[in-house]
Amino acid sequence: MTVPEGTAPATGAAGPGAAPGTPARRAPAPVRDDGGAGVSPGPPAGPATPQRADGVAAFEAVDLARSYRLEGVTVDALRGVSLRIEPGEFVAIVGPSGSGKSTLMHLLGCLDRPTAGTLRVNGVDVSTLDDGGLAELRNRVVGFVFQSFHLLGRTSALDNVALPLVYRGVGRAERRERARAALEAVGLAHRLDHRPSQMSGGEQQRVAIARALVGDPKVVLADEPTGNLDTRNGEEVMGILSRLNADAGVAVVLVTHEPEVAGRARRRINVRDGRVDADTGEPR
Amino acid sequence: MKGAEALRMALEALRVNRLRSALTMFGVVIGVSAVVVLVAIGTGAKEAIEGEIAGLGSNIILVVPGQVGLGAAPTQSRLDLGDVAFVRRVVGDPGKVTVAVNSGESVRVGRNEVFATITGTDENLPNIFERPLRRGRYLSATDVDTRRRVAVLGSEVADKLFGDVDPIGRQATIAGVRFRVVGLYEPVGATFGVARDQEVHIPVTTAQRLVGLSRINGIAVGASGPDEIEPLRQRVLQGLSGRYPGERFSAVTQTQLLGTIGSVLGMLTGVLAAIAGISLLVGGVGVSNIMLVSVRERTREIGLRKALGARGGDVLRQFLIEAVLLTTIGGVLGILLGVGGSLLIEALSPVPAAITWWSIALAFGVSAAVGVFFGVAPARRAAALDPVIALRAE
Ligand SMILES: Nc1ncnc2c1ncn2[C@@H]1O[C@H](COP(=O)(O)OP(=O)(O)OP(=O)(O)O)[C@@H](O)[C@H]1O
Ligand SMILES: [Mg+2]
Repeated sequence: MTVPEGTAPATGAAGPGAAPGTPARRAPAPVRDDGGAGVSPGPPAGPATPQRADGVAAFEAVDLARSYRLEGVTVDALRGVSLRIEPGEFVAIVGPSGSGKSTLMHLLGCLDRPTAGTLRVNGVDVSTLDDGGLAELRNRVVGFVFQSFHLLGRTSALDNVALPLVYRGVGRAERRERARAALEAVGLAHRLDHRPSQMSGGEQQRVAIARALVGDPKVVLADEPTGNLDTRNGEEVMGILSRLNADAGVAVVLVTHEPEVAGRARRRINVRDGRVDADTGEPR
Repeated sequence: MKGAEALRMALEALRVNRLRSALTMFGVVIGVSAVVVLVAIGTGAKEAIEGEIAGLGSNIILVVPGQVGLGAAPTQSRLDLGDVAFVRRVVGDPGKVTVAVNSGESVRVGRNEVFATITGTDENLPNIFERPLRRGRYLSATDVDTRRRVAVLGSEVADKLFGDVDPIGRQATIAGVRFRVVGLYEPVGATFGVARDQEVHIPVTTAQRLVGLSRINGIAVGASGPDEIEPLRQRVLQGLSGRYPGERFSAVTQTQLLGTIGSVLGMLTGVLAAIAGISLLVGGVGVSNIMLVSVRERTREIGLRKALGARGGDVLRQFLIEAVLLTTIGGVLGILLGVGGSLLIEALSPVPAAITWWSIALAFGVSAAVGVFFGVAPARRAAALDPVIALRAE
């Protein structure tokens, strides 16, 4: 069970299709296959964009804050996070429970909007996007892996994995083909028609990873991907993520409480009380 | 997301919750089939009665004393044969005026006895009413003038009294008086519930003596064409009012009857359809209810779909299509059930049922509209869910 090169499922028809494995892989801002009705966010043209010479950061957060209001009480889950994550990085986010790790992941994954600060995802300032534009970033730029898998219960592994492509307007035959390739890539070629209830936790999480990478994303965000798994399955999942990062150049950002898991990452970001406490190996 | 994809997803969701989908549809099925059946019965009744009226003959004016209207009984008659002669003069064409004296009497042939409507009339009846003969002859002027005891039988009366035997020339006893059968009518069916095949026609003069009356029940006038009906009606009414100042007479035309009955039955059909429509509405509320439950149950699924890139519009469409599928599938089943039920009623009961295309189209259109109308609120709720919160839901 290996992740073959070009994890980008080998259909080649759609998707950026650039040679994987190079961190410099630079995809255009998301554009819908169906002709681009709706938003087509692009990095604001011209030199006004603070970009590095070597490319667009996967994520660039400046003073990112997120607070929740609950019955008049304000909870500051994030209080000004600034960070930059380059394409192809492997980052572990660690920190005590309640420190804001998941909140940060949701912001990076465009599932949520910051209450203050700016966030650029793949060069696009999310505050310029409407909900449809955010949905498109979620669909094309990031792949999300959840602690509790979140698979559709009555749906086969193949159809679960193909789901993101549905919202991209990819045809059924191509969807199935790409989903099959993605499942093969996580070593589940023999489980295509199984439903989540017929699979082990480790297998379910691998299906979820296949789903995260079927759309050929720039980044995979994983919030405690091994949290619900035993050590052996957890290691298997981590192996897949590592290879995905090493072979296909997909950036991986994961949250974990387990030191061994965090140890796999080249960079570690410590979050405490809604702030970045320490950031090892920031490539700056 | 493409439309076909959304449809596939919705079908899948309905399939997964088969029993619930079926039960939800059931409300719509009942509503739609009720609309189709009740409209079919209403329309059938209307067509049947209109057919009966048209089947009487054409361009007929019925003159009766007093005021007629639906629900108002004709007042005691004050018309007699002299008035008939007067109306003949007014009309100008004596052959287009006939008369009726009605009475219910028992008719006996040997051991067979039936209760029949005895109508005293004259030789002009076939000039005005559509009353084909099967055998024998109509009443003649001589029969009336000489007060003969002859009778023309309706088909049902003849069947009951004579069975397979040819009644022409045979004897029948009406109210204890012996009559000779001279004619036999073709079956013509009923008009306003009056079974015309159970009538026995005898000369009006004979009838008056038989029942001991000099009055008549009504006069029928045949106009020469549709345009003649109204002027003729006015002439007859004016003539009678001049002859009996201060008294009221009514002259009812077929067109008036058709109009009145048509509007009453049309209203009845409308009321029936509205009642059925209410049950369709209740079915729609059921759909809305189930869709809300479904949205709640599938909160995590919705959150996940959004996390994977579904837009609000995609989710809205998915749930709206589910709701519309529920009601349109229910609608189609309801139409099939309604059409089947109407055909069954038509075949097995005396109630006429005429299936109309407009009711089918309307039922289908309404059920689709009900789906949209009652699906929008749940679908919007689903579309508005925050993905993070939705994913965390249990
Ligand atoms: N929807 C919300 N409404 C109100 N408060 C919230 C909400 N989501 C998170 N919080 C609060 O924000 C803070 C950060 O939560 P978050 O889930 O990001 O922590 P975490 O670092 O992921 O913790 P854990 O390691 O336990 O998963 C917590 O105090 C939490 O109670
Ligand atoms: Mg968390």
